[in-house]
Amino acid sequence: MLFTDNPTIHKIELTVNNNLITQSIPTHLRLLDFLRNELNLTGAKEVCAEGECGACTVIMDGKIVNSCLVFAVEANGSEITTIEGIGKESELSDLQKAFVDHHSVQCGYCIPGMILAGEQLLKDNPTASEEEIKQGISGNICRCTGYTKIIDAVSSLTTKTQRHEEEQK
Amino acid sequence: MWSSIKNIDIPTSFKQAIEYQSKSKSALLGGGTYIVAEKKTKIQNLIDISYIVDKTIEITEDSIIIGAGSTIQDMINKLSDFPLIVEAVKYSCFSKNIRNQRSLGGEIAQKRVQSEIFTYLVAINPILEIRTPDKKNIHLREWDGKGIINKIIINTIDLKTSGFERFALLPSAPAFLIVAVVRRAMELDFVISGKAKKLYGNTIKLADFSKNSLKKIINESVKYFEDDQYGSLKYKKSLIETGIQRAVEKI
Repeated sequence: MLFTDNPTIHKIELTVNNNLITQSIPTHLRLLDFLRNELNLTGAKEVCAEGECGACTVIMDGKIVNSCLVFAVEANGSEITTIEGIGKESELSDLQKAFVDHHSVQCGYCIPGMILAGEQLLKDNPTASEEEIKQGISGNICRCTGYTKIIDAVSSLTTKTQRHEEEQK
Repeated sequence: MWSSIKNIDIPTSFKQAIEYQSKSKSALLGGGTYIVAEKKTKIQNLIDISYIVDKTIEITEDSIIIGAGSTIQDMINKLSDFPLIVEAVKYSCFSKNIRNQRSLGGEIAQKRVQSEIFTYLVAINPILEIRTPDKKNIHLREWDGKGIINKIIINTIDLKTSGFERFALLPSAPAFLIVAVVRRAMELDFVISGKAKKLYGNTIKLADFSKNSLKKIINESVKYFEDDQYGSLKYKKSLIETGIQRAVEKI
């Protein structure tokens, strides 16, 4: 635990990947540090530490946020999903499979954030257009892939849903 | 890790928030995207106002009332009938993650001259409901930065008679030049900003509007810019002229 001189200690209660967590934490602890250092959920990465890159993306109450810009105390009462809460070790989620199938991963550092942004986008807008996909991942920077394969992966699922909806008509 | 922070106060009323504000080394925490990113080491106490500031967005017959705690993504989601404001919001922050956190009140309080939405709002000059803790309504341009913004009240007529243009190296990159124009009953309001020393504003009576007055605006406003990697002052002068022309065409 990283303390400054006499920080106030707060008791927080939140749900992380469907597990109820109650813990006492110092004021200055960011959600990212809480997840990584206290809960050992290291999928969210620290890269820029100022909200520019999206490597620390988590889903907080149904919205993607940069966990480096959220204090853990602000997450009190919230529902958090990290990459560890998506899919299972034995079975990837559809989007994770699509990333594999479309060779969307190179160095992989941005991928937890990309997957979470994509998962939330698919939930909010299952038939998102290419432009909407670009908007959906606009907070996540990838320096390897040029985004094309990532967009292809998300797009493969939205197209599938679009086709399914058309067949239902 | 922001190690200078020792405490976060969570006020339950504006009165309490203002009291906390008088403590030394305190700062307001709304969305947090500026303050947490900057991590100023002088700050020791944060005042989390997210529980007390209005977060609703209401559209009435002649106005849009936006709670200062609304995120700028909420504005995109709920104000689709007002494309200019949506565009200004989107360009002022291209990251959806940040838009999900950044509040409109915070964006105004930052007075960031490179923000499309701030520039556009200065041009349309909405009414701010400020809590000190008493409630007072004041136009954005007259706000001295004191108190806490609770609501932003935009006259929808101003949205229909306004335009803005931006110039950036890429659509997703911050604009280095922003021009906003609003036509009112008797006058035209011009606001020019971007990667500038400060925001330039001018009002011209419609009856006095001429090529010469336009030239004056261009010559005055370009002084706020510098020769830099985005281009020479001559180039920026031509962009200001183009921006004004395009913005006026939209009105």
